[in-house]
Amino acid sequence: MEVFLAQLVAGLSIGGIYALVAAGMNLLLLVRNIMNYSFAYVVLMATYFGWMAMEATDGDPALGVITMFASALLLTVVTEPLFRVMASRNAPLEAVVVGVGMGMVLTEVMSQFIHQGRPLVFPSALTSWGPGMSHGLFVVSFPQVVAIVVGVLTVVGLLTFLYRSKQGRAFRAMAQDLGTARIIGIPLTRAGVYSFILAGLMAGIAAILVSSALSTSSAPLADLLALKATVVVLVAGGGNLVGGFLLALAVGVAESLTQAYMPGRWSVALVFGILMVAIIARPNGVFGSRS
Amino acid sequence: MLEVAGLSVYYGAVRAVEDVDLYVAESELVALLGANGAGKSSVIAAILGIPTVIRGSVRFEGIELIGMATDRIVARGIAVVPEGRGVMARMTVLENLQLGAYHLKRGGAARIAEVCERFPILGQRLRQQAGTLSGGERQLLAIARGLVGRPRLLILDEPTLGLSPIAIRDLFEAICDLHRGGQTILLAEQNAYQALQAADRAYVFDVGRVTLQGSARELMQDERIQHAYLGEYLAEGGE
Repeated sequence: MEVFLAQLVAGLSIGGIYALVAAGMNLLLLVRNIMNYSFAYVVLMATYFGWMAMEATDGDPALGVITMFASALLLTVVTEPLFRVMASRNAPLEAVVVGVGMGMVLTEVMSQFIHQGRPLVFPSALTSWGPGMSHGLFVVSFPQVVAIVVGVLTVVGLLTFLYRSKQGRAFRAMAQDLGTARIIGIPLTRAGVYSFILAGLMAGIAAILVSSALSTSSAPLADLLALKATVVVLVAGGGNLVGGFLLALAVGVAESLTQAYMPGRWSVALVFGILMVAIIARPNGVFGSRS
Repeated sequence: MLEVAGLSVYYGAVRAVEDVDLYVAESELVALLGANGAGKSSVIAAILGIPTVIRGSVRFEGIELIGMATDRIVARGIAVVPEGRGVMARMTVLENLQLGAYHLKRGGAARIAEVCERFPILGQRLRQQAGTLSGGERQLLAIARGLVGRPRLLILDEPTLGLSPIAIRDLFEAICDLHRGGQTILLAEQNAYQALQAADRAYVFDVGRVTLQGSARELMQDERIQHAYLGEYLAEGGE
Protein backbone atom coordinates (compact mmCIF):
# COMPACT_ATOMS: atom_id res chain seq x y z
CA MET A 1 0.00 0.00 0.00
CA GLU A 2 2.84 2.39 0.85
CA VAL A 3 4.50 1.70 -2.51
CA PHE A 4 1.20 2.22 -4.28
CA LEU A 5 0.60 5.57 -2.57
CA ALA A 6 4.16 6.76 -3.23
CA GLN A 7 3.86 5.79 -6.90
CA LEU A 8 0.45 7.47 -7.08
CA VAL A 9 1.84 10.77 -5.81
CA ALA A 10 4.87 10.49 -8.10
CA GLY A 11 2.52 9.77 -11.01
CA LEU A 12 0.30 12.74 -10.23
CA SER A 13 3.34 15.04 -10.00
CA ILE A 14 4.70 13.96 -13.41
CA GLY A 15 1.11 14.05 -14.68
CA GLY A 16 0.88 17.66 -13.48
CA ILE A 17 3.90 18.49 -15.65
CA TYR A 18 2.38 16.66 -18.65
CA ALA A 19 -0.85 18.56 -17.99
CA LEU A 20 0.91 21.92 -18.09
CA VAL A 21 2.71 21.13 -21.34
CA ALA A 22 -0.48 19.70 -22.86
CA ALA A 23 -2.45 22.78 -21.73
CA GLY A 24 0.05 25.12 -23.41
CA MET A 25 -0.13 23.10 -26.63
CA ASN A 26 -3.93 22.92 -26.40
CA LEU A 27 -4.17 26.68 -25.97
CA LEU A 28 -2.23 27.28 -29.19
CA LEU A 29 -4.23 24.59 -30.96
CA LEU A 30 -7.47 26.28 -29.87
CA VAL A 31 -6.53 29.85 -30.65
CA ARG A 32 -4.19 29.47 -33.64
CA ASN A 33 -5.12 26.01 -34.94
CA ILE A 34 -1.49 24.91 -34.80
CA MET A 35 0.17 22.01 -33.01
CA ASN A 36 3.34 23.52 -31.56
CA TYR A 37 5.43 20.35 -31.28
CA SER A 38 8.44 22.36 -30.09
CA PHE A 39 6.63 23.45 -26.92
CA ALA A 40 8.12 20.69 -24.71
CA TYR A 41 11.59 21.40 -26.14
CA VAL A 42 11.20 25.05 -25.14
CA VAL A 43 10.32 23.88 -21.60
CA LEU A 44 13.45 21.72 -21.40
CA MET A 45 15.64 24.38 -23.03
CA ALA A 46 14.48 26.78 -20.32
CA THR A 47 15.60 24.28 -17.66
CA TYR A 48 19.05 24.33 -19.31
CA PHE A 49 19.19 28.15 -19.14
CA GLY A 50 18.12 27.99 -15.50
CA TRP A 51 20.78 25.39 -14.76
CA MET A 52 23.45 27.57 -16.40
CA ALA A 53 22.35 30.56 -14.34
CA MET A 54 22.59 28.50 -11.17
CA GLU A 55 25.97 27.10 -12.17
CA ALA A 56 27.23 30.62 -12.66
CA THR A 57 26.00 31.76 -9.26
CA ASP A 58 26.84 28.84 -6.94
CA GLY A 59 23.34 27.39 -7.18
CA ASP A 60 21.18 30.42 -6.49
CA PRO A 61 17.68 28.86 -6.86
CA ALA A 62 15.88 32.22 -7.18
CA LEU A 63 18.00 33.22 -10.15
CA GLY A 64 17.53 29.77 -11.67
CA VAL A 65 13.75 30.01 -11.36
CA ILE A 66 13.64 33.54 -12.81
CA THR A 67 15.91 32.52 -15.70
CA MET A 68 13.78 29.47 -16.51
CA PHE A 69 10.61 31.54 -16.46
CA ALA A 70 12.01 34.39 -18.54
CA SER A 71 13.75 32.16 -21.11
CA ALA A 72 10.66 29.97 -21.60
CA LEU A 73 8.53 33.06 -22.15
CA LEU A 74 11.07 34.60 -24.53
CA LEU A 75 11.65 31.40 -26.54
CA THR A 76 7.90 30.85 -26.95
CA VAL A 77 7.17 34.42 -27.99
CA VAL A 78 10.07 34.79 -30.46
CA THR A 79 8.86 31.71 -32.35
CA GLU A 80 5.36 33.18 -32.72
CA PRO A 81 5.97 34.81 -36.14
CA LEU A 82 6.95 31.43 -37.64
CA PHE A 83 3.74 29.83 -36.46
CA ARG A 84 1.72 32.93 -37.40
CA VAL A 85 2.70 32.34 -41.02
CA MET A 86 1.47 28.76 -40.78
CA ALA A 87 -1.74 29.85 -39.05
CA SER A 88 -2.44 32.50 -41.69
CA ARG A 89 -1.98 29.87 -44.40
CA ASN A 90 -4.30 27.52 -42.47
CA ALA A 91 -1.50 24.95 -42.62
CA PRO A 92 -1.62 22.97 -39.35
CA LEU A 93 0.41 20.05 -40.70
CA GLU A 94 3.18 22.34 -41.93
CA ALA A 95 3.17 23.90 -38.44
CA VAL A 96 3.96 20.45 -37.03
CA VAL A 97 6.98 20.29 -39.35
CA VAL A 98 8.11 23.72 -38.12
CA GLY A 99 7.68 22.54 -34.52
CA VAL A 100 9.64 19.33 -35.13
CA GLY A 101 12.41 21.31 -36.83
CA MET A 102 12.64 23.75 -33.97
CA GLY A 103 12.64 20.86 -31.52
CA MET A 104 15.57 19.27 -33.35
CA VAL A 105 17.51 22.54 -33.29
CA LEU A 106 16.92 22.92 -29.55
CA THR A 107 17.87 19.25 -29.00
CA GLU A 108 21.17 19.84 -30.77
CA VAL A 109 21.84 22.94 -28.65
CA MET A 110 21.14 20.95 -25.48
CA SER A 111 23.19 17.95 -26.66
CA GLN A 112 26.18 19.71 -28.20
CA PHE A 113 26.75 22.95 -26.38
CA ILE A 114 25.70 22.56 -22.76
CA HIS A 115 27.32 20.34 -20.13
CA GLN A 116 28.93 18.25 -22.89
CA GLY A 117 25.55 16.67 -23.65
CA ARG A 118 25.32 14.99 -20.24
CA PRO A 119 22.02 15.08 -18.33
CA LEU A 120 21.73 17.99 -15.94
CA VAL A 121 21.28 17.49 -12.21
CA PHE A 122 19.79 20.43 -10.40
CA PRO A 123 21.16 21.59 -7.06
CA SER A 124 19.40 20.44 -3.92
CA ALA A 125 18.38 24.02 -3.13
CA LEU A 126 15.90 23.64 -5.99
CA THR A 127 14.95 19.98 -5.60
CA SER A 128 14.90 19.27 -1.86
CA TRP A 129 13.28 22.30 -0.35
CA GLY A 130 10.25 22.33 1.92
CA PRO A 131 8.96 19.59 4.23
CA GLY A 132 8.90 16.07 2.81
CA MET A 133 6.76 13.19 4.03
CA SER A 134 7.93 9.67 4.69
CA HIS A 135 6.30 6.69 6.29
CA GLY A 136 8.05 3.39 5.69
CA LEU A 137 8.30 3.01 1.90
CA PHE A 138 5.99 5.97 1.32
CA VAL A 139 8.25 8.92 0.53
CA VAL A 140 7.00 12.13 -1.01
CA SER A 141 9.08 15.24 -1.60
CA PHE A 142 7.62 18.70 -1.26
CA PRO A 143 8.44 19.66 -4.90
CA GLN A 144 6.35 16.65 -6.01
CA VAL A 145 3.35 17.98 -4.06
CA VAL A 146 4.00 21.47 -5.44
CA ALA A 147 4.04 20.04 -8.99
CA ILE A 148 0.58 18.51 -8.47
CA VAL A 149 -0.90 21.64 -6.87
CA VAL A 150 0.65 24.08 -9.36
CA GLY A 151 -0.36 21.88 -12.30
CA VAL A 152 -3.97 21.84 -11.09
CA LEU A 153 -4.04 25.55 -10.24
CA THR A 154 -2.51 26.58 -13.57
CA VAL A 155 -5.03 24.63 -15.62
CA VAL A 156 -7.92 25.88 -13.44
CA GLY A 157 -6.54 29.42 -13.81
CA LEU A 158 -6.35 29.01 -17.59
CA LEU A 159 -9.95 27.79 -17.75
CA THR A 160 -11.08 30.67 -15.53
CA PHE A 161 -9.26 33.10 -17.82
CA LEU A 162 -10.87 31.60 -20.91
CA TYR A 163 -14.39 31.67 -19.49
CA ARG A 164 -14.34 34.83 -17.34
CA SER A 165 -12.18 37.40 -19.11
CA LYS A 166 -12.69 39.50 -22.22
CA GLN A 167 -9.51 38.21 -23.85
CA GLY A 168 -10.39 34.63 -22.91
CA ARG A 169 -13.75 34.96 -24.65
CA ALA A 170 -11.95 36.40 -27.66
CA PHE A 171 -9.66 33.33 -27.70
CA ARG A 172 -12.69 31.02 -27.59
CA ALA A 173 -14.38 32.98 -30.36
CA MET A 174 -11.22 32.62 -32.50
CA ALA A 175 -11.26 28.88 -31.79
CA GLN A 176 -14.88 28.57 -32.91
CA ASP A 177 -15.01 30.79 -35.98
CA LEU A 178 -11.98 32.80 -37.02
CA GLY A 179 -13.80 34.64 -39.82
CA THR A 180 -16.60 35.86 -37.56
CA ALA A 181 -14.09 36.70 -34.81
CA ARG A 182 -12.38 39.00 -37.29
CA ILE A 183 -15.67 40.61 -38.34
CA ILE A 184 -16.61 41.19 -34.69
CA GLY A 185 -13.41 43.21 -34.44
CA ILE A 186 -11.10 40.93 -32.48
CA PRO A 187 -7.52 41.84 -33.45
CA LEU A 188 -6.41 38.41 -34.59
CA THR A 189 -2.67 39.07 -34.85
CA ARG A 190 -2.46 40.74 -31.45
CA ALA A 191 -4.64 38.06 -29.84
CA GLY A 192 -2.39 35.42 -31.41
CA VAL A 193 0.66 37.02 -29.80
CA TYR A 194 -1.21 37.11 -26.46
CA SER A 195 -1.88 33.38 -26.77
CA PHE A 196 1.85 32.72 -27.23
CA ILE A 197 2.66 34.92 -24.22
CA LEU A 198 0.19 32.94 -22.12
CA ALA A 199 1.63 29.66 -23.42
CA GLY A 200 5.12 30.99 -22.65
CA LEU A 201 4.11 31.67 -19.05
CA MET A 202 2.89 28.09 -18.80
CA ALA A 203 6.14 26.81 -20.33
CA GLY A 204 8.03 28.76 -17.68
CA ILE A 205 6.02 27.20 -14.87
CA ALA A 206 6.47 23.75 -16.45
CA ALA A 207 10.25 24.28 -16.65
CA ILE A 208 10.42 25.13 -12.95
CA LEU A 209 8.36 22.05 -12.06
CA VAL A 210 10.50 19.76 -14.26
CA SER A 211 13.71 20.94 -12.61
CA SER A 212 12.40 20.83 -9.05
CA ALA A 213 10.18 17.72 -9.11
CA LEU A 214 12.30 15.56 -11.43
CA SER A 215 15.69 17.02 -10.31
CA THR A 216 17.10 16.39 -13.77
CA SER A 217 16.83 17.50 -17.37
CA SER A 218 18.17 16.19 -20.67
CA ALA A 219 17.57 16.32 -24.41
CA PRO A 220 16.04 12.80 -24.51
CA LEU A 221 13.63 13.91 -21.79
CA ALA A 222 12.46 16.66 -24.16
CA ASP A 223 11.78 14.03 -26.85
CA LEU A 224 9.70 11.96 -24.45
CA LEU A 225 7.83 14.96 -23.03
CA ALA A 226 7.01 16.27 -26.52
CA LEU A 227 5.78 12.86 -27.64
CA LYS A 228 3.67 12.24 -24.56
CA ALA A 229 2.14 15.73 -24.44
CA THR A 230 1.28 15.53 -28.15
CA VAL A 231 -0.36 12.14 -27.71
CA VAL A 232 -2.27 13.40 -24.66
CA VAL A 233 -3.55 16.41 -26.62
CA LEU A 234 -4.66 14.29 -29.57
CA VAL A 235 -6.15 11.38 -27.61
CA ALA A 236 -8.01 13.67 -25.20
CA GLY A 237 -9.46 15.57 -28.18
CA GLY A 238 -7.48 18.41 -29.77
CA GLY A 239 -8.16 21.68 -27.98
CA ASN A 240 -10.03 20.04 -25.09
CA LEU A 241 -8.35 21.63 -22.05
CA VAL A 242 -10.22 19.72 -19.37
CA GLY A 243 -9.85 16.43 -21.22
CA GLY A 244 -6.14 17.06 -21.79
CA PHE A 245 -5.65 17.85 -18.12
CA LEU A 246 -7.42 14.68 -16.92
CA LEU A 247 -5.71 12.44 -19.44
CA ALA A 248 -2.28 13.91 -18.60
CA LEU A 249 -2.78 13.08 -14.93
CA ALA A 250 -4.02 9.59 -15.87
CA VAL A 251 -0.97 8.97 -18.08
CA GLY A 252 1.37 10.12 -15.31
CA VAL A 253 -0.27 7.81 -12.78
CA ALA A 254 -0.44 4.88 -15.21
CA GLU A 255 3.25 5.24 -16.05
CA SER A 256 4.24 5.48 -12.43
CA LEU A 257 2.18 2.46 -11.34
CA THR A 258 3.32 0.26 -14.25
CA GLN A 259 6.94 1.19 -13.49
CA ALA A 260 6.42 -0.10 -9.96
CA TYR A 261 4.59 -3.28 -10.87
CA MET A 262 5.93 -4.20 -14.33
CA PRO A 263 9.45 -5.01 -15.53
CA GLY A 264 11.74 -2.67 -17.45
CA ARG A 265 10.38 -0.09 -19.86
CA TRP A 266 7.14 -1.89 -20.58
CA SER A 267 5.35 0.90 -18.75
CA VAL A 268 5.71 3.34 -21.64
CA ALA A 269 4.68 0.71 -24.21
CA LEU A 270 1.66 -0.29 -22.15
CA VAL A 271 0.44 3.27 -21.58
CA PHE A 272 0.91 4.23 -25.24
CA GLY A 273 -0.79 0.98 -26.27
CA ILE A 274 -3.84 1.90 -24.20
CA LEU A 275 -3.85 5.41 -25.72
CA MET A 276 -3.58 3.89 -29.21
CA VAL A 277 -6.65 1.73 -28.57
CA ALA A 278 -8.44 4.76 -27.12
CA ILE A 279 -7.89 6.92 -30.20
CA ILE A 280 -8.96 4.07 -32.50
CA ALA A 281 -12.14 3.59 -30.47
CA ARG A 282 -12.87 7.34 -30.23
CA PRO A 283 -11.38 9.11 -33.29
CA ASN A 284 -12.58 12.55 -32.11
CA GLY A 285 -10.76 12.12 -28.82
CA VAL A 286 -11.68 10.44 -25.58
CA PHE A 287 -13.29 13.66 -24.31
CA GLY A 288 -14.28 15.11 -27.71
CA SER A 289 -12.36 17.84 -29.48
CA ARG A 290 -12.46 21.61 -28.87
CA SER A 291 -14.72 21.89 -25.86
CA MET B 1 -21.15 58.98 -43.32
CA LEU B 2 -19.92 56.22 -45.67
CA GLU B 3 -18.61 57.03 -49.15
CA VAL B 4 -17.46 54.32 -51.53
CA ALA B 5 -15.83 55.52 -54.75
CA GLY B 6 -14.49 53.56 -57.70
CA LEU B 7 -14.38 50.36 -55.65
CA SER B 8 -13.09 47.20 -57.33
CA VAL B 9 -12.52 43.96 -55.44
CA TYR B 10 -10.45 41.03 -56.69
CA TYR B 11 -10.16 37.47 -55.42
CA GLY B 12 -7.03 36.26 -57.18
CA ALA B 13 -7.64 36.87 -60.87
CA VAL B 14 -11.41 37.08 -60.42
CA ARG B 15 -12.94 40.55 -60.26
CA ALA B 16 -15.93 40.35 -57.89
CA VAL B 17 -16.79 44.07 -57.85
CA GLU B 18 -16.04 46.65 -60.52
CA ASP B 19 -15.97 50.40 -60.13
CA VAL B 20 -18.75 50.77 -57.57
CA ASP B 21 -19.78 54.15 -56.19
CA LEU B 22 -22.23 54.45 -53.32
CA TYR B 23 -22.87 56.45 -50.18
CA VAL B 24 -24.83 56.14 -46.98
CA ALA B 25 -25.89 59.30 -45.13
CA GLU B 26 -26.45 59.49 -41.38
CA SER B 27 -29.70 57.84 -40.16
CA GLU B 28 -30.37 56.36 -43.61
CA LEU B 29 -31.30 52.79 -44.36
CA VAL B 30 -29.68 51.92 -47.67
CA ALA B 31 -30.29 48.56 -49.34
CA LEU B 32 -27.92 46.69 -51.64
CA LEU B 33 -30.04 44.45 -53.85
CA GLY B 34 -29.05 41.74 -56.24
CA ALA B 35 -28.93 38.02 -56.82
CA ASN B 36 -26.52 35.70 -55.07
CA GLY B 37 -22.99 36.44 -56.33
CA ALA B 38 -23.89 39.92 -57.61
CA GLY B 39 -21.16 41.51 -55.48
CA LYS B 40 -23.07 42.80 -52.42
CA SER B 41 -21.13 40.75 -49.88
CA SER B 42 -17.83 41.62 -51.60
CA VAL B 43 -18.59 45.32 -51.13
CA ILE B 44 -19.23 44.68 -47.42
CA ALA B 45 -16.04 42.63 -47.15
CA ALA B 46 -14.13 45.50 -48.78
CA ILE B 47 -15.58 48.01 -46.30
CA LEU B 48 -14.14 45.78 -43.55
CA GLY B 49 -10.79 45.45 -45.34
CA ILE B 50 -11.04 41.68 -45.72
CA PRO B 51 -10.18 41.00 -49.42
CA THR B 52 -6.47 41.23 -50.17
CA VAL B 53 -6.88 43.25 -53.36
CA ILE B 54 -9.10 46.32 -53.17
CA ARG B 55 -8.93 49.34 -55.47
CA GLY B 56 -10.71 52.63 -55.02
CA SER B 57 -11.75 54.43 -51.87
CA VAL B 58 -13.90 53.64 -48.84
CA ARG B 59 -14.26 56.61 -46.50
CA PHE B 60 -16.11 56.50 -43.20
CA GLU B 61 -16.76 59.85 -41.52
CA GLY B 62 -14.00 61.28 -43.70
CA ILE B 63 -11.38 58.65 -42.79
CA GLU B 64 -10.01 56.35 -45.50
CA LEU B 65 -10.57 52.71 -44.51
CA ILE B 66 -8.63 50.99 -47.31
CA GLY B 67 -5.47 49.56 -45.80
CA MET B 68 -6.81 49.73 -42.26
CA ALA B 69 -7.01 46.51 -40.18
CA THR B 70 -10.51 45.09 -39.66
CA ASP B 71 -10.43 45.47 -35.87
CA ARG B 72 -9.59 49.18 -36.21
CA ILE B 73 -12.42 49.64 -38.71
CA VAL B 74 -14.85 48.00 -36.27
CA ALA B 75 -13.48 50.12 -33.42
CA ARG B 76 -14.23 53.23 -35.52
CA GLY B 77 -17.94 52.42 -35.33
CA ILE B 78 -18.87 49.94 -38.07
CA ALA B 79 -20.56 46.71 -37.02
CA VAL B 80 -21.22 43.96 -39.53
CA VAL B 81 -23.70 41.15 -39.04
CA PRO B 82 -22.31 38.54 -41.43
CA GLU B 83 -24.20 36.31 -43.80
CA GLY B 84 -25.21 33.07 -42.11
CA ARG B 85 -25.71 34.80 -38.70
CA GLY B 86 -22.16 34.25 -37.43
CA VAL B 87 -23.06 33.68 -33.81
CA MET B 88 -20.71 31.63 -31.68
CA ALA B 89 -22.84 28.50 -31.33
CA ARG B 90 -20.88 27.00 -28.42
CA MET B 91 -20.96 30.19 -26.38
CA THR B 92 -23.93 31.49 -24.40
CA VAL B 93 -26.14 34.36 -25.54
CA LEU B 94 -24.50 36.56 -22.88
CA GLU B 95 -20.99 35.64 -24.04
CA ASN B 96 -21.93 36.46 -27.62
CA LEU B 97 -23.20 39.86 -26.50
CA GLN B 98 -20.03 40.40 -24.45
CA LEU B 99 -17.99 39.78 -27.61
CA GLY B 100 -19.87 42.71 -29.15
CA ALA B 101 -18.53 44.90 -26.34
CA TYR B 102 -14.91 43.94 -27.10
CA HIS B 103 -13.96 47.48 -28.13
CA LEU B 104 -15.84 49.30 -25.39
CA LYS B 105 -13.46 50.60 -22.72
CA ARG B 106 -16.29 50.69 -20.16
CA GLY B 107 -20.05 50.36 -19.87
CA GLY B 108 -20.28 46.99 -21.63
CA ALA B 109 -22.67 45.48 -19.06
CA ALA B 110 -24.98 48.52 -19.18
CA ARG B 111 -24.97 48.44 -22.96
CA ILE B 112 -25.86 44.72 -22.96
CA ALA B 113 -28.75 45.48 -20.58
CA GLU B 114 -29.98 48.20 -22.98
CA VAL B 115 -29.82 45.84 -25.95
CA CYS B 116 -31.64 43.13 -23.99
CA GLU B 117 -34.43 45.63 -23.30
CA ARG B 118 -34.77 46.13 -27.03
CA PHE B 119 -34.70 42.36 -27.67
CA PRO B 120 -36.39 40.85 -24.57
CA ILE B 121 -36.25 37.32 -26.03
CA LEU B 122 -32.45 37.48 -25.72
CA GLY B 123 -32.62 38.88 -22.20
CA GLN B 124 -34.62 35.83 -21.18
CA ARG B 125 -32.04 33.45 -22.63
CA LEU B 126 -28.72 34.92 -21.57
CA ARG B 127 -27.41 31.62 -20.15
CA GLN B 128 -28.57 29.54 -23.13
CA GLN B 129 -26.09 28.23 -25.68
CA ALA B 130 -26.47 30.31 -28.87
CA GLY B 131 -26.47 27.14 -30.98
CA THR B 132 -29.78 26.08 -29.42
CA LEU B 133 -31.64 29.24 -30.53
CA SER B 134 -33.96 29.23 -33.55
CA GLY B 135 -32.71 30.76 -36.81
CA GLY B 136 -34.64 33.99 -36.23
CA GLU B 137 -33.39 34.28 -32.66
CA ARG B 138 -29.82 33.70 -33.78
CA GLN B 139 -30.20 36.49 -36.33
CA LEU B 140 -31.53 38.81 -33.62
CA LEU B 141 -28.58 37.82 -31.43
CA ALA B 142 -26.13 38.64 -34.23
CA ILE B 143 -27.78 42.06 -34.70
CA ALA B 144 -27.85 42.64 -30.93
CA ARG B 145 -24.16 41.73 -30.71
CA GLY B 146 -23.45 44.30 -33.39
CA LEU B 147 -25.48 46.95 -31.54
CA VAL B 148 -23.71 46.37 -28.20
CA GLY B 149 -20.64 48.19 -29.51
CA ARG B 150 -22.71 51.36 -30.21
CA PRO B 151 -21.95 51.32 -33.97
CA ARG B 152 -22.63 54.43 -35.97
CA LEU B 153 -23.10 52.23 -39.04
CA LEU B 154 -24.74 48.79 -38.82
CA ILE B 155 -24.22 46.57 -41.86
CA LEU B 156 -26.48 43.55 -42.29
CA ASP B 157 -25.43 40.96 -44.87
CA GLU B 158 -28.33 38.81 -46.08
CA PRO B 159 -30.07 38.71 -42.69
CA THR B 160 -33.15 36.85 -43.94
CA LEU B 161 -31.25 34.00 -45.55
CA GLY B 162 -32.80 30.69 -44.48
CA LEU B 163 -35.42 32.22 -42.19
CA SER B 164 -39.12 31.35 -42.10
CA PRO B 165 -41.62 33.95 -43.39
CA ILE B 166 -42.69 34.76 -39.81
CA ALA B 167 -39.08 35.18 -38.69
CA ILE B 168 -38.42 37.42 -41.74
CA ARG B 169 -41.42 39.59 -40.84
CA ASP B 170 -40.24 39.90 -37.21
CA LEU B 171 -36.70 40.64 -38.34
CA PHE B 172 -37.77 43.44 -40.67
CA GLU B 173 -39.90 44.90 -37.88
CA ALA B 174 -36.77 44.98 -35.73
CA ILE B 175 -34.71 46.54 -38.54
CA CYS B 176 -37.36 49.21 -39.20
CA ASP B 177 -37.57 49.91 -35.48
CA LEU B 178 -33.80 50.45 -35.35
CA HIS B 179 -34.00 52.73 -38.38
CA ARG B 180 -36.81 54.78 -36.83
CA GLY B 181 -34.57 55.18 -33.77
CA GLY B 182 -31.95 56.89 -35.96
CA GLN B 183 -29.58 53.95 -36.54
CA THR B 184 -27.74 54.18 -39.86
CA ILE B 185 -28.05 50.84 -41.67
CA LEU B 186 -26.58 49.32 -44.82
CA LEU B 187 -28.61 46.24 -45.72
CA ALA B 188 -27.51 43.68 -48.33
CA GLU B 189 -30.53 41.61 -49.20
CA GLN B 190 -31.89 39.32 -51.91
CA ASN B 191 -35.43 39.81 -50.64
CA ALA B 192 -35.94 42.97 -52.68
CA TYR B 193 -39.57 43.55 -51.81
CA GLN B 194 -39.02 43.58 -48.04
CA ALA B 195 -35.77 45.53 -48.38
CA LEU B 196 -37.35 48.25 -50.55
CA GLN B 197 -40.26 48.50 -48.14
CA ALA B 198 -37.82 49.26 -45.32
CA ALA B 199 -35.13 51.27 -47.13
CA ASP B 200 -34.76 54.97 -47.94
CA ARG B 201 -32.56 54.29 -50.97
CA ALA B 202 -31.17 51.27 -52.75
CA TYR B 203 -28.45 50.15 -55.16
CA VAL B 204 -29.09 47.23 -57.47
CA PHE B 205 -26.07 45.01 -58.23
CA ASP B 206 -25.56 42.73 -61.19
CA VAL B 207 -22.32 40.85 -61.91
CA GLY B 208 -20.24 43.10 -59.66
CA ARG B 209 -21.60 46.43 -60.93
CA VAL B 210 -24.28 48.87 -59.79
CA THR B 211 -26.88 48.78 -62.53
CA LEU B 212 -29.62 50.84 -60.88
CA GLN B 213 -29.88 53.21 -57.97
CA GLY B 214 -32.40 55.58 -56.49
CA SER B 215 -34.94 56.04 -53.75
CA ALA B 216 -36.73 52.91 -52.63
CA ARG B 217 -40.03 54.38 -53.76
CA GLU B 218 -38.68 55.03 -57.29
CA LEU B 219 -37.15 51.61 -57.55
CA MET B 220 -40.39 49.93 -56.46
CA GLN B 221 -42.04 51.52 -59.49
CA ASP B 222 -39.20 50.66 -61.89
CA GLU B 223 -40.31 48.09 -64.43
CA ARG B 224 -36.94 46.39 -64.52
CA ILE B 225 -37.03 45.88 -60.74
CA GLN B 226 -40.60 44.71 -60.87
CA HIS B 227 -39.73 42.24 -63.59
CA ALA B 228 -36.51 40.98 -62.07
CA TYR B 229 -37.25 40.98 -58.33
CA LEU B 230 -40.87 41.78 -57.52
CA GLY B 231 -42.72 39.64 -60.02
CA GLU B 232 -43.87 37.01 -57.61
CA TYR B 233 -44.96 39.58 -55.02
CA LEU B 234 -46.96 41.55 -57.58
CA ALA B 235 -48.49 38.33 -58.87
CA GLU B 236 -49.51 37.55 -55.30
CA GLY B 237 -51.17 40.94 -55.02
CA GLY B 238 -48.33 42.68 -53.18
CA GLU B 239 -48.01 46.43 -53.27
